[in-house]
Amino acid sequence: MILKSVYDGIKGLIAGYAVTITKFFSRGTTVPYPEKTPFVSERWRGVHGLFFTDNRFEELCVSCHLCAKVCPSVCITMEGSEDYLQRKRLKRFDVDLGRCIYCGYCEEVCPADAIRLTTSHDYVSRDRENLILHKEDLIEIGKSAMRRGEHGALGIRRGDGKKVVYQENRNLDASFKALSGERVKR
Amino acid sequence: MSLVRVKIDDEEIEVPEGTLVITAAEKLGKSIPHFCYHERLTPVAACRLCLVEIEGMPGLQPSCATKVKDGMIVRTNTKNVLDSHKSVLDLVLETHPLDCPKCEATGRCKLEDFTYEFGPHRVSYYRPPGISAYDYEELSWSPVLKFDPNKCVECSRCIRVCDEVQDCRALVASSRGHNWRITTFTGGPLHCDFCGACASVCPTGAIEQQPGKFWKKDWELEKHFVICSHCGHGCTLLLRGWEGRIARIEDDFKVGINRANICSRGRFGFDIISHSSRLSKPLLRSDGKLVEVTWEKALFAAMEMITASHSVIGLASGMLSVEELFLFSKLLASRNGKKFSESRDGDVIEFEKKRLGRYGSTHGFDQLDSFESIVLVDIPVEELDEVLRIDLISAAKKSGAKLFTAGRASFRLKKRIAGLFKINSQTLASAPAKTLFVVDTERIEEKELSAILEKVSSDPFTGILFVAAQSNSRALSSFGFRVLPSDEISEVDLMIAAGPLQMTERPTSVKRLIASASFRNELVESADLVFPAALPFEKSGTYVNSEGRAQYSDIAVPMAGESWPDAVIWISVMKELGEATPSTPREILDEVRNNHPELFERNYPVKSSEAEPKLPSTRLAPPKRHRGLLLDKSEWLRKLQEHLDFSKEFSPWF
Repeated sequence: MILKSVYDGIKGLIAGYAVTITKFFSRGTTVPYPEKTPFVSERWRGVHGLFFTDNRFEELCVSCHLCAKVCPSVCITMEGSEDYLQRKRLKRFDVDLGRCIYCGYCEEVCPADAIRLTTSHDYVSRDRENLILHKEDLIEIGKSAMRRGEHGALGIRRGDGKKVVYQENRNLDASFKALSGERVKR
Repeated sequence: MSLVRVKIDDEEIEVPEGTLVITAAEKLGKSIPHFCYHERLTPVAACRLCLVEIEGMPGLQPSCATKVKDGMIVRTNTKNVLDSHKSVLDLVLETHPLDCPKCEATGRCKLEDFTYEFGPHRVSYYRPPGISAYDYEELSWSPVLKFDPNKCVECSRCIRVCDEVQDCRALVASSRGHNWRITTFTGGPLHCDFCGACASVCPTGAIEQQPGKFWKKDWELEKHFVICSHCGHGCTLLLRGWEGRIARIEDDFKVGINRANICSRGRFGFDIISHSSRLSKPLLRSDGKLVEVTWEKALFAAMEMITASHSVIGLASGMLSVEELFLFSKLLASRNGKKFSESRDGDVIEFEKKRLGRYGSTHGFDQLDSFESIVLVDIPVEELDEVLRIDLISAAKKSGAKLFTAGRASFRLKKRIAGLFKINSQTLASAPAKTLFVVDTERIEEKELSAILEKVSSDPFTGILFVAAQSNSRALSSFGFRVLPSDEISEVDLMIAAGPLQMTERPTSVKRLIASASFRNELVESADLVFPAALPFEKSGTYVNSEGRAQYSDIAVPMAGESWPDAVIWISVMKELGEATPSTPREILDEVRNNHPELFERNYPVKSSEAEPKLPSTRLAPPKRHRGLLLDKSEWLRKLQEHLDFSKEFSPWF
């Protein structure tokens, strides 16, 4: 009886350590966060970005105020103005991340696909003032998201309205330049 | 007028005979969609959107052009009627560009509202997005008005308001059928006063105001009623703004004495409050230069200057409110100062008081149609009071009152003038019975005025209407401000100038000058001490207009920089001098009411009777962030230049 129980104990011990040792040598599931950025899905609803149009690097936003209207937490404040071509364009665009609930309604309602929620999720600050993103900040976020190739075709539209299809192994910067009309050596 | 009973959708209502079906339905709270019908204009039944079923009449009838009859049975919600609304809107949407998010009129667009309520939620006549049926170019009619023919629903409201109300006929219709378009007379830019009435009545975004375009959506703008301060009429303006900034000025038919008529100054002149030459801090002269100082220092300097001078005179503007004029006259009275103004209004009203024993106009703007003839005595009405011109035209149309001019003729009223008088006392005395004399207080001579007043005193059906040049110059006489004579100011130690003045430099006989001003001008440059003063939208106060109606105007926008209202400035100066002064708004108004009841004699329902008047507090509010209101000035000038080039191209006589 004693031998039996000793055998069982050792067997259990080996089985337990086997799990531990296999996990020790297998790939980890956690990410050492500040050093490495975790992978998030493209459908992740992170910080907002203002996206741009075709090769002229123009804003997509037509200042229709629909995102500000639909926002359930009233975190978007915007003002429009008339640009040099007498079109309706954005003058001021503030998003209060302290109020935002990341529901994505603004993205959904936007008729020009100008505001999109990017994958950047680590926007932190020690000051509440900094949580209010202005137009320039949102443009920066949008531009970096475009460089990362988020939202399908780089978030870029051609002049004819068609989206460029995103390919996995493509040099993103090259295609970005190609869209902007520059010649790229491959 | 007899009443008739009408049945609309099983609900009975009694309305006066001659009422339109659409008006009767509105009284019952039924919404019948309409484009061409407007309560101020003659019905044309052009848009066919307001069709209803009337028992006993064939087919569907336009409710905006059908008058009610006794026992009429109207149905507005049958399937037939609703289908007709839907198909008419469908046909309108066939040619209308579907770019509502980009359109300035979203939120106040009638087409949008009616389509949401009645219309096809999917258009039957498909067009690819971004392609409009018409491809007309947007026309810049003027620096303040723009016309997009693609968005026009052909209701002809703008043409009718220009013709019937404004009597201007700057807009006409051209071509027929599918090519029917609204154009200006020359086809190029507008040749008119830019009153903006066409933009105000436009049901869609076809005619749009340029200042404030695209800034905010209609649903984001707050509403605030204020009294206009550009002339003596005392119009009520509806400010639309956000965060203390004004985006546009609208009119409301139901509020105010102007009945939704606003001149171009009132509608587009709101950008003065963000002008680049606004004063933001008190200025004190030291070593021959004006230097910005704090309020404490400025008030102390004012106290020193006033106590050091033996003779003081005061010069008040007619644009200050009643409370401010009262406090300013109180300050002058405490120093035995003489009271002057640039306006002759005080002298004329005082002259009238000596002759008749009463103050001001005998009749108001709403009583013009009770006269058989109206004599305009040496007054170009459209220059002084544009809205009075519209009132005169409507009186001439409504009751057939004949307009006569004596002396200077009014150019814009030329077509309506029945006859001309020579301006002298005899011809004025021989005017027919039931006559109203419209008098310019700045120009009327003593002889003519006495002849008119004699006639007014002898004939109870004759009236006189003094047209004041400034928003509150009617109140100058009550506080004893007389016109400034050129020779009388000799050897004065101190002159205190309050409010916006036309004087360009300080008189040589004045040793020192304290001024309260809103803008940096020549008078300010020659002053020794300058207080930055708030402008009418930034302060509250009571204004007495030409007809003698006291109206209360509230604060609408924050004060620019560190400027204070004149009331607060003069209270602070008096406190610095150690004088007793009323300090709360209620105390000031009560004291004015007790001492000068004639200002509130014509007891119209004014806003101040409803609520406690909010005068600015005597303590300085924390300076609020103030941004520019209008477009950038250089941009504005560029647009104006573009417009001028455009005009030269199209009209040889511009």
